[in-house]
Amino acid sequence: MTPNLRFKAPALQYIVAAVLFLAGAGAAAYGLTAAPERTWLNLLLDGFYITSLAVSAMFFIASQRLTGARWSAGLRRIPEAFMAALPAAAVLMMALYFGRQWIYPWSRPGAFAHAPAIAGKVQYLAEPWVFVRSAVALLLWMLFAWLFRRTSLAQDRNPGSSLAYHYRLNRYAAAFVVVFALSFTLGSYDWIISLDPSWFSTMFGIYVFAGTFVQGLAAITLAAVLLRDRGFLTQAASDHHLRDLGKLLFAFSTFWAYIWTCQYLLIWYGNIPEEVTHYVRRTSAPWLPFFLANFAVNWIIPFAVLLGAPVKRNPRALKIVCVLLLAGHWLDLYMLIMPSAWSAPRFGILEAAIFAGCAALAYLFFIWSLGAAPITPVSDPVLAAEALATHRESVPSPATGVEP
Amino acid sequence: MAREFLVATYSDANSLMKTVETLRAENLKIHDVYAPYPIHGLDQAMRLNRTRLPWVTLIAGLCGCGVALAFQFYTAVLDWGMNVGGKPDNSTLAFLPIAFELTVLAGGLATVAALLLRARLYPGRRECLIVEGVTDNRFALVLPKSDSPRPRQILEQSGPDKLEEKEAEL
Repeated sequence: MTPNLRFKAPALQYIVAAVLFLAGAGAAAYGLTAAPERTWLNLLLDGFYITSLAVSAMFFIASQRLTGARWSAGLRRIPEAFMAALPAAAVLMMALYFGRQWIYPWSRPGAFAHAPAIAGKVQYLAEPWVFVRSAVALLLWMLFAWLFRRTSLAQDRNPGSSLAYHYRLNRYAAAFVVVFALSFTLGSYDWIISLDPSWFSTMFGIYVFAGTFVQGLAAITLAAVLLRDRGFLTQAASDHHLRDLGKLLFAFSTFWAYIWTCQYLLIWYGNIPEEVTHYVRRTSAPWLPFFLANFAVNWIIPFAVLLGAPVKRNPRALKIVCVLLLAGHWLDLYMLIMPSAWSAPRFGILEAAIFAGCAALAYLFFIWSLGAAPITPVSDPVLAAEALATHRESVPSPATGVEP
Repeated sequence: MAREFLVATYSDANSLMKTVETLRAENLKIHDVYAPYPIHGLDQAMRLNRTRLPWVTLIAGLCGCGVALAFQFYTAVLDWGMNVGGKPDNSTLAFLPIAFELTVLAGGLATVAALLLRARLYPGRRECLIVEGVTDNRFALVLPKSDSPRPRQILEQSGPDKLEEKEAEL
């Protein structure tokens, strides 16, 4: 197997994705005239979904670099391809400016006039300030995505100075996590929590981040398994790598549940009227099934499935769990966004079409970016070092489930 | 009680791994392997059975969880009903943080204790290094001494730095 094998998606995939994207765009255009509030909420939900997919892929790259992880070096092109959709996602998020009055109560004239409880937020939620914050966050993320990708490709072309590029990427990763922690917290407040300006939770940022990182891991794992099925990345996505990805999924799904419980438990225990509104609404009759399903899909099922060691390297099981978690993050965002505006859940063609459109958009960027560079980094010093550790290749296939 | 062993010493992990695989391919017995750091894939190459340690963790964790829930239920509901913030006496959700912590604590401590006991690493234990340097930069492969010449033959062919017969209490 040549290491610089190129990925090439069949033309049919481009056509289907393009058709889905156009269908989603058409549905959104129709929805903006027929049901503007519902459409804008869906655009926020699905725009944020692909934004968080892109930034969590970047966070994956950064976290791997900062922990000095060597095992994932050969998988780097997958998260790089996921972050390619960031500019398109950013356009979607900034387009919310035109729909702000439909979905954000604070942007309606006189929103703060008769609400002394939220009067203190009037400066923070001033319109220009909110959208400048969003724009700055998105621009910073795009800047880092560009730096990650450009340096990674430059390393491919210049084997002589691959180590210098390696260290440069490590420095970018360190800068990115600091920027990401602050900007993503602000983003989650500005885009999601401000739908209900009277509610607040100081751990909301980490809650959204936890779900986002699970989403990114699930997407990366799913892509790795699917590429492996098609004969790519056979070394970079070996059974050992799948098991490591499975462990990360297991760990961060549980981290999400931990953060979920922390937020719920503290608000339930404190029982302060302005805090409990969020949960009272979400646990009332029409929403309760989805509230419970959210916890089951994002934690109970993945936890039960991924508990054993052999299942973590079973490609079929991983595929199912990844799809479940990707759907779970959508449901999680749905339960954060929609109950702030609606009295009962709505799932219709509009929801399906706009989601399909956004997902197809992200997928188009993904396959385009994946095909634009060798699917395994060509001159990564980490991969070169790994290739020298020959004893790992001679390990007999694990039959006993012993910890490697 | 001291027994006799066949000890081969290597200066790199690769030759050790290869020898272990050759020995196991012929179903020959390995007493143990000593290395200064964990070697990827060595457990599989030695075909060790899966560790039973997780069972200790599970049982101790369940005990910790049960004790924490039972104690809180007894103190806050049975013995002296307490009204906290108007919630019902048996607000189980409020018991969860302590139950969680005790699960982790009991599970963790029991795992470490079981490991140390099973490996006989209690305080005051006399050190027994089969070869100098296995905690530094040497790799030792220890076989029980047998009447068959085959193990010795394999070890000789594997090109160890040193091959010796030793009596030791391991």
